[in-house]
Amino acid sequence: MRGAVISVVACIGLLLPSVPVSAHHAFAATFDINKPIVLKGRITKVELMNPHSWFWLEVENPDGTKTEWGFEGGSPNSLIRRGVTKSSLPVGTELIVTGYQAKSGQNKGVGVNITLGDGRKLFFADDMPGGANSATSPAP
Amino acid sequence: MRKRLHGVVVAGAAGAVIVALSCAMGPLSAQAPTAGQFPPYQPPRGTDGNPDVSGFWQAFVTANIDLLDHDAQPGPTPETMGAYGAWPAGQGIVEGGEIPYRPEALARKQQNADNRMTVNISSDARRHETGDPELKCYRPGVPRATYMPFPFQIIQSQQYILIVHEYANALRTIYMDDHKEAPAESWMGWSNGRWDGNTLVVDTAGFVPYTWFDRAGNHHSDALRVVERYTPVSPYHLMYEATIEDPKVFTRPWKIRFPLYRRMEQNVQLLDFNCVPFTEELLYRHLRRQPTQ
Amino acid sequence: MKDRLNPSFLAAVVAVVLSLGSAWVAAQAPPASSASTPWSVVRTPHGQPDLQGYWTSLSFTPLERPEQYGTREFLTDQEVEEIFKAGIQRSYDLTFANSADTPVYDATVYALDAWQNGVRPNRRTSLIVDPPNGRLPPLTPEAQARRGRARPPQETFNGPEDLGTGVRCFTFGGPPIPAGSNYNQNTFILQGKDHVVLEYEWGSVTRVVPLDGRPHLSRNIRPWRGDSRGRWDGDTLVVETTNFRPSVTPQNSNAATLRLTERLTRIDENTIEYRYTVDDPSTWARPWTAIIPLSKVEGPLFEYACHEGNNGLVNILEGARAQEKR
Repeated sequence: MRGAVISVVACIGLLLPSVPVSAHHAFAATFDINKPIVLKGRITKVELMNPHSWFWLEVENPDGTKTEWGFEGGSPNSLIRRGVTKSSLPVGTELIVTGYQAKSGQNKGVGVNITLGDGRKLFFADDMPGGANSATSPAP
Repeated sequence: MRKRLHGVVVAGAAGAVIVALSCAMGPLSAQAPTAGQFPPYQPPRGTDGNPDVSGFWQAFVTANIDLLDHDAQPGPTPETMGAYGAWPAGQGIVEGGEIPYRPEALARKQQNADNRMTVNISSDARRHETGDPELKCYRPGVPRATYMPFPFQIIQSQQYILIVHEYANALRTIYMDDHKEAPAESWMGWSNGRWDGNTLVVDTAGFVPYTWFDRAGNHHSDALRVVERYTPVSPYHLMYEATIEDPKVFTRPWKIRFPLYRRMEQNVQLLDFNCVPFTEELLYRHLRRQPTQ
Repeated sequence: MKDRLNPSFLAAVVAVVLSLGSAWVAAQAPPASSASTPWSVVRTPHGQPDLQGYWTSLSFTPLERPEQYGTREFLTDQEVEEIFKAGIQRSYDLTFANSADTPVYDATVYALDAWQNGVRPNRRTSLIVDPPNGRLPPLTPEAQARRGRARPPQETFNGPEDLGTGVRCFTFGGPPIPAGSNYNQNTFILQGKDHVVLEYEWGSVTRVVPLDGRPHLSRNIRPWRGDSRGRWDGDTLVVETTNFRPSVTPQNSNAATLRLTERLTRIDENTIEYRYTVDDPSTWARPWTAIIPLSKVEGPLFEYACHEGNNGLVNILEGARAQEKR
């Protein structure tokens, strides 16, 4: 696993150093590949921000208690150019998130796959230049 | 041809006559300017026919310390900082001399002031609950960036006006046509601009709720909207007014006003105030590895 | 966790993007013919050639020429297509490097993958065009010694100084303008009457370049983006940058002796030729020059307030401290 990360970083090693090529290494340092998680919850807050967006969910536990979880996603800049706004993902929307938990042990993780409650992928998972496939963002 | 004369004729004991004359030849008198007054002025115009407000500007009020009247004060840790760390007095820039807070928001302002040096950096937005964002080298927001004690540069084209701040390289993009709503919240807001005669009017909203107006803890919510007016009043001054509106925090809109001064040093340019490295110890020392016993 | 890019999907993506990219590919011709392009220059109201707008420096072209090309500067049509296709696949794989390997978010969800962001095919075998072998010149003995002394990348994170300047949000965007297949590699150019502004999206780093012939700053003042001075040479904007800081120089060159010259020429409606020369006699025996195509994209550039939102640095250090306790 480690070897794969290093070879991926090396193949873009010819880029100029001012490009943040350490991005993937930073993720491996932050989130634990040995702690996969699958959670379902309702959005309480959406932070479209840099360097990474964060999505906050209220997750109902099996015993009925509720826990707040936060998931890290991508920079919103490209989404914004495609018309996504802070209103595109309303509070209360149900999400299912698969990802990995933070090494700190806090209720935070990286959101690898995020789907809406009805199974549609969040934002532009299947987009294609020229609009050959439709975007799958939720209705604003 | 007779010039207009303001004359004083004095008959001295020796018969000497001393005449003091002042000739008023046009709008700019040979007398020293009166503070607070600017004679009528028409600014030079750019190729698009609009006033040219480009250049290097800076405020010289102390509003960054406190928007309201404030006396000189020792500042943080005077036992090490002495006079280096002390803050000057200043007369307030708020029209009417008061900021019309809702009661719970006023309590929050006091809490901010009490905790302005309290820094608790977590890996989420709770980091913004205490501590002056200026202390952390976060972007100052609007209008604070305009009266920070640092210059800014206005670069102007017909479609966009950019304001680049020396402080933290903070950038404001003012869209002069193609006005849109803010797609998401940002620290410097989303600005739409237009000309109103000689005045540049900038309407900014879409702010994160985390910036303060000053070190005294004056604050706002995500509903903040700031309408600024920049009016050239001499070759060397812009008169700046801003109306601040935030129905979640204030009972009514309120205004600030002060002049901006053109920086006239030869070869003046923005330098770098990258305070991010300066704040690492403050923000992150609690996350350092501790030596084992 | 994620499937390899479906071959017919990949072919469709490449076909669409290649059709968008044909203008750039057609506009290139060996060698260095930008001065003789027939495109008629559009001017700003101040009479300067118009470079304004939003431009991406996304590229799959490597900085250094792979040795198999020797001194060949340009690819055949078939090679252009193959390399571009491979670039899209590699970019996609990088995006999905998590494939059970790395805990990373799915970048295509956020439209951050290169093929979602306007990357165009490039007829060149490398970004470097001089030396003629398309590779960095040999290092001087001093530079080799400097590299030998360089601190290796850290594996433990005792404090923020063990992380890179990017993770610490110190600065981004060179100069020179970075190329590569990463996201947010967009530059907004605005021209005022006597200054040109280049805003680089990653980090919202803004350079303001005066055109009034003023001298550089003294050597005692070293802005994080260096100190730039611009002038027009015909229809080309020439920007000279000095006063670099250590740790933010291209290829770890020597800030004290480095001079960078950038040349921007609009060659058609959708393209700027961005040519830069790195001259650092204490690092390389001779200067080297690269060309990156800047391709027109839609705006806007949204604020990138890196330090303000830097949860990542805190999470990394919190994680390191938590692991020590285990």
